[in-house]
Amino acid sequence: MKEQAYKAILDSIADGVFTVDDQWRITSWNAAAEQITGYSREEALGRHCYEVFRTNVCQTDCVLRKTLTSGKALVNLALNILDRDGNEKPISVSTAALTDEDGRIIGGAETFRDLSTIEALRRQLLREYSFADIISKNHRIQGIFEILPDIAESDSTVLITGPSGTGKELFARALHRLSPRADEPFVTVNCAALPDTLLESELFGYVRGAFTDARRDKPGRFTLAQGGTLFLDEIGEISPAVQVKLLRVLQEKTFEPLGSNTTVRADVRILAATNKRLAELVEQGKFRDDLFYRLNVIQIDLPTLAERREDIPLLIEHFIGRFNAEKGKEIGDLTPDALEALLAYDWPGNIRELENAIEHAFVLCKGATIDLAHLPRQIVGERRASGRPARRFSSLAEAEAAAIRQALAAHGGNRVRTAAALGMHKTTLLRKMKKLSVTYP
Amino acid sequence: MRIAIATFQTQISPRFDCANTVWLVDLEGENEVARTELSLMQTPPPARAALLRSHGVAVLLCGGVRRCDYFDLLDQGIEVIAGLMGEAQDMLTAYRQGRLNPEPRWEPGRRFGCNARRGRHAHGAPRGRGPMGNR
Repeated sequence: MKEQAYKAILDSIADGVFTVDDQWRITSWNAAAEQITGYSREEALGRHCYEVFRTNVCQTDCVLRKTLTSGKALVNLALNILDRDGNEKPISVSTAALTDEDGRIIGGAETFRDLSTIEALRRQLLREYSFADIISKNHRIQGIFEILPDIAESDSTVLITGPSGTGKELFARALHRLSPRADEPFVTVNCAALPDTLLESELFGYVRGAFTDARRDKPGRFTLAQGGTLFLDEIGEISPAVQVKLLRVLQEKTFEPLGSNTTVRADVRILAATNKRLAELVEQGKFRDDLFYRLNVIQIDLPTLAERREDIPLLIEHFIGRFNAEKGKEIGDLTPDALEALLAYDWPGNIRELENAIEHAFVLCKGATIDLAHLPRQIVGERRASGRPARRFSSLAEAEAAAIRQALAAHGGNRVRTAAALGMHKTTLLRKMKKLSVTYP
Repeated sequence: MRIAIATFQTQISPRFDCANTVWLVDLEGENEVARTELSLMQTPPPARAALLRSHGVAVLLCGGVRRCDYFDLLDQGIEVIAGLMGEAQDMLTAYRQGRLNPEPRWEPGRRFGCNARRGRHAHGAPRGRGPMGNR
């Protein structure tokens, strides 16, 4: 009777539940476990758990073994299983040790939830927040998304500004791809990477005999980009001499290769980017004002990653997916501690630094979940140096609530300033506060 | 003929994509004439089918196989007998004695899932069961 009652209780639970003895043989298997894995109770009972509950870590990093060895429960680990039909299903898993009356471990229990629907929704959201390979739900970036097709359609020069690593080239490529010039070349020049004389010959090309080593004609980037787009990165670094020549191309749409008397027409759209404040350089006399105004027809100013923290989980997911595909790994998620550390870090190197941090974690992570130990020292180190207690968040919502509380406290409860610091609209902040039950300090 | 058996310790590996080793077994008729072990640790799942093919494998015995890996293996001309459980040596013996039979999977129009299989007859294979119907 007691056993039947246990079975009825287990079968009423929507999550999959099974128990094993100390030899990893399954001793109970509820109805939800049957449904999620495709294996019936009769098939599962008596089998080793890894034979029917086939997670991606069974053979390398068994979570139940960890619990039975340490006696500690594990909560909400993101894994995947292979069901009976060969379908991979994302699941979250929690484990607990089973003990006898004397406290001796006699087996373990595992509960798991099918995240297939949630995962599908997450993918849909990721698609909704993606635009031409750029991912963001930040209101400033969403605003740029709205006008990007119109900017791309025009042939105007665009100046993309923002600190290093904020994705300026990604936006330049998106503008090119969305433009009528999409089928023509997209040519990039990093103006800071070349000395003055080389930059000039690189941009405009030269003819044979133009200088001692010029044994044959060499087309410049303007020629290579004919009909397409030329992206001048780090435009703030060019010398006054090159500024003059560039101004002429922008004004007259023509140029002469070095050593040539022939004027070439430049049918090229110019996109430029800088991490410097060009207006300040103009005031200091380091950048020509006429060139600045020619470049600054349309300006796209990109926020730092710290100003768009809400994008960090989306970007992490995007990078994990990309590195999984590139490196043939199957990393599913991060531990709450690791996610908290990434959300709390200031990201001076912006998205490029986040990308590097995830790549670093991919090198060190041998299992399916990225943990604190896999992250670069400066990220974990700053977290320790901040002196905050190492809190565990069981979900992203909890981490988000903590971030809002912290920002509210830092801004004296001012809603507008807090929303700005978190990179969201004040009504979004209010909605999130209500949803997450966050109150004013 | 060379067959591969994905292993986990002494057992059939529950997942081919997560298996660290395979046995490569050369058979002449029912007789085993050679056996070596091949590490898969440095080979990501998408490259495993080609690796087995490069070793001349004609048949793979394993536990679970993801759909994408299954079709990669078929593309490489490797016959797959999946859904097996238990000791790898027992599976090898059963195969040599002709007691493991591959069945087609994921055919157009065929229904898969627990209910689709429950009515099938047992084949008498030792402890083998699963999507290939070897139970």
